[in-house]
This record gives sequence, C-alpha cells and structure tokens, in this order.
Amino acid sequence: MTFVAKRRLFAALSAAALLAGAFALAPTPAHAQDAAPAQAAPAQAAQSDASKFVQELGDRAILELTDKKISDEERVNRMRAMLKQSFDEVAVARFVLGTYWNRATPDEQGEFTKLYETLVSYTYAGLFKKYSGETFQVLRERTVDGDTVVYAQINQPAGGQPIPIEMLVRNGDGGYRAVDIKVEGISMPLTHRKEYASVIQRNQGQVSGLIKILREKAAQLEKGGAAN
Amino acid sequence: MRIAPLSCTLLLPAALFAATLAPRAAWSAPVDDVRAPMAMPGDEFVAQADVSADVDMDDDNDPLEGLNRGIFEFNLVVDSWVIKPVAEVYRDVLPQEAQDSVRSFMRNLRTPVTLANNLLQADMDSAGNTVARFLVNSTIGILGLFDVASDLGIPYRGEDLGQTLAVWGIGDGPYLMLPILGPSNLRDTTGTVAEWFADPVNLALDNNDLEWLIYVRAGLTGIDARSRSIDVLDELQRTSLDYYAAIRSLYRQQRANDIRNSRPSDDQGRPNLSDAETSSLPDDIVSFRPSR
Repeated sequence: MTFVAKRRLFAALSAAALLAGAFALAPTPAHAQDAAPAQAAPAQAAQSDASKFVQELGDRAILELTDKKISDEERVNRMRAMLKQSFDEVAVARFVLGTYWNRATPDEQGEFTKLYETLVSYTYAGLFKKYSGETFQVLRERTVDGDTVVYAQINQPAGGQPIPIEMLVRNGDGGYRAVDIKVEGISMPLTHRKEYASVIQRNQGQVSGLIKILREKAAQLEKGGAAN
Repeated sequence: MRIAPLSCTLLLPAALFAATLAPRAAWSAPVDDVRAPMAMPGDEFVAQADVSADVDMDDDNDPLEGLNRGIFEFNLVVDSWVIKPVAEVYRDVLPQEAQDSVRSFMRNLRTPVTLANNLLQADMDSAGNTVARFLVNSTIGILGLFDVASDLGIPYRGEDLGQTLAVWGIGDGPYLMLPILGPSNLRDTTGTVAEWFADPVNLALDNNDLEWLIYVRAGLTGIDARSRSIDVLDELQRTSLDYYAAIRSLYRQQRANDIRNSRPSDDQGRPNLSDAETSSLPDDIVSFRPSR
C-alpha cells in the first residue's frame, strides 16, 4: 500500500468515525422540523368541492385509522366503512378485473367486489396502523374529462420528504367518489390489476380460480387480525 | 476489478446494440410514450381491455418469467434469512438521524454519477440542483452527513443511467429478476452495471487497493434502502395473492415515475416546476380511468 493509499484509507476511516461520532453529538436537526410547517401553510385557501372531498377523506383516514387505542378488527371495520362510503367500489373492481370482468358471471362479479373490499380494507388498515402524527394536505387539482385528479401529500411528523398522493375522484349520483389512488406515483388498483391477471393466467384463465384464492386470502386475513 | 473498464465498455454497447435490434413490439413503451397523453400502462388497458386477455400477458414483457420466478424465490429466502434481519437491526438499533445520515452520505457520494446523468439527459435544472446540493451538503452538511440542502428547499432527485437511457428513447426491455439485487429489466441492468464500473468513487477506491470499501458502500446503501421498505413490503406480501407479479408491477410503475421526474414532492415551493401541472406532462398522473 502506498503512502497515498494509506492517507486515503485514513481519510475514509476518519469519515467513518465522524459518521459514528456525529450521531452522538448531533441534536435532532432543527431545520428538519422547520421544513414541514413552512410547506403546510398555502393549501387551505379556496377549495373546490372535489378538493374538499379529498381533504375530508384524508383527514378522516388519518384521524380514524391511526388511532392507537382501537383494535385491529375495529381499524379494518373503519377502513371498510370508508371504502363503502367514499369509493366507487364497483368501478374500481371492474378496473382491477379488467378484461376478465366481462367473462365473469354476475355472481362472480359480486363476490369479487366484496372480497376485494375485504382485501383492500386489511391492506390500508395495516399501512395506516404504522402512521403516527402525519397530516394530510390537499395541494391542487386538475380536471380530466369530467373527473378530477386531486394532488395531495402526507406530511411526516419528523420532517423529511412529504409523501405525494394523487386521488382520482368522480362526481356521481351520491356525490363524490374516489376511483383511484396513487401513492408516490404507484397506483394500488393498477398493481392489483396486474397481479390478479397473473393469478388468473396461472389458473387456466379462470376467474373462478382467482376468486377461490381470494376467498382463502380473505379468510386468512380475518383469522390473523389486521396486522402482524 | 482490474478489467472493469474493459467489461464496461463491452457490455454497454452490446446491450444498446441488442436494444436496437430487438423487435420493437417485444419491448415495452419507450419513454416518449409515457410522456404522451393517455399512454400510461393502465390506459393501454382501458383502451384494449375488451379486446383480448392476452394483452395483459404481453404487457408484462417477462419472457424469462420461469427463471425470474426461480430467482425471486431464491431472493426471498436470502432476504428472510440475511438481508431483512440485518435491515431490521439497522432500523431498530441506529437512531433515525444516523440512518438519515447514512443515506445522505451515500447520496452525496453518488454526486458525480447523478450529475453525469443530469447532463446526459440535458437536464440543466437538475444538474444545477445536484451541484447546489453537493456544495451545501459537503460543507455545511459535513461531508454529506446531513442533508441541509433538502431543508433549504433543494430536495434530492435521484438519477441513474437506466433513466438516462429511457430518456434517450430506449425501451425497458425484458423484465429481469436479479439475484440479491432484485427487480430490474435489461435497460436498467445495463445502467447499473455500467455505473458500478464507471463511478469515479469506485474507481478511486479500486485504484488505491480499497476495493472492499466499494462493497461496504454498496452493502450499506442496500441495507439502508431495505430498512426503509420493511413495513410496506411486509404488508404487500401479507395481502398479495401473487407477490412476484405485484413486485413486477410496482417496479414498472416506480421506474416510470422516476423517469418522468414528476413526483409532486419535487415541486413543492418550486415555481419553475409547477408547469408539470399545466404543460408538458399532460396526463402524467392518471394511471387509468375506470369506465363510467
């Protein structure tokens, strides 16, 4: 090893030592906390009905689902109630089944919609359980062919990058309903659509194959509680 | 490692060559399509949904699915026995500030690669962002240990060669499940390999007989990333019917999102980016629109 190499090794090691030492010394970086409130201010101005709907939905989700005092079962029930009330469940189920929706019998369509609701309830209940102190903030919106995309974010209590949310809402007979939600650019219904198409293909193209597996998964989740 | 530059120069053109030769249809949509109105993956589906069930199969562009699934199973075993337990210790033992400093330090080390990609994409705004972050974080942020720049309103924007190739119009190619490294595709794998060998920090370490530090760096970066996805992946695995297919879809969506640089989190308080709302990225956000 040359002298230069040794010196660089030393530099690298001191960096590592510094790395270790800095944590012991560094207070919680104050700037990290300044950042979030600074961003939190502008949104609440004049909101459209669509934005108001999404803001209320987000607030309700955080208020009801992050409650540490409730049981896992109660958390799932609350999520399910929100799905029923604020989501266009049939539109989402149709999208998730995609081309297979029309191949399914009405009974299968109905059962799929119900099982999917159960699965999504457990999924979101499990995710929200980990939350604590987050806030939901609508930023802006955009209209696309009669539907509205509402851009929002979840602000994290310890600072850090807010989590971007996009919700697609539709104004129907019963008021606004959500039909898609994207978290950090990733759509859960789209992911399920791809996943379930794969399941159906691996079951000889039979929707009944998917439904059987969904039933088992739902039973397993109901037995196991809302989160591990 | 000594032959590294050689293999790098061989691999990249070879892969690019393969990319141009391969029948276009076998590759998924080039990025131009992603930027075009209504060309998100989901939209293709809405348009074609009633045509044929085979659409879904083609769109996955996963000709090596059998092999990929095998590697995925292997990865799950390695993950559950080694990677995840280490990531859990990392997450539970190190204070959050320490974990953030690891990530910040590693990101700062990546500056040359990120900047090169900004320039290769002719994205001067991001290049300025990268330089500004490096100057602030390397000084006030003490060698990159503290991400002061983010707090000053200059958030991190990741770039890699896979994204650059995508911006150049190269499709993502067949989906690949890499051992240990996880989901990828031919284009992104090419980018990863080339970056590994071309990264100036790695080259400097290698030239000074500190090759082991290259692996420490890669390992720490990986563990940090894994530790941040423990909860989400656990939840996904618990509720998924076909974990492999779910991960495949997530990877696709995540990369499309990275390539678009359209994370709303990036344009907070940055007026120059608010045009994402109005002009050039018309339907970047709507993944699909269920039929009425």
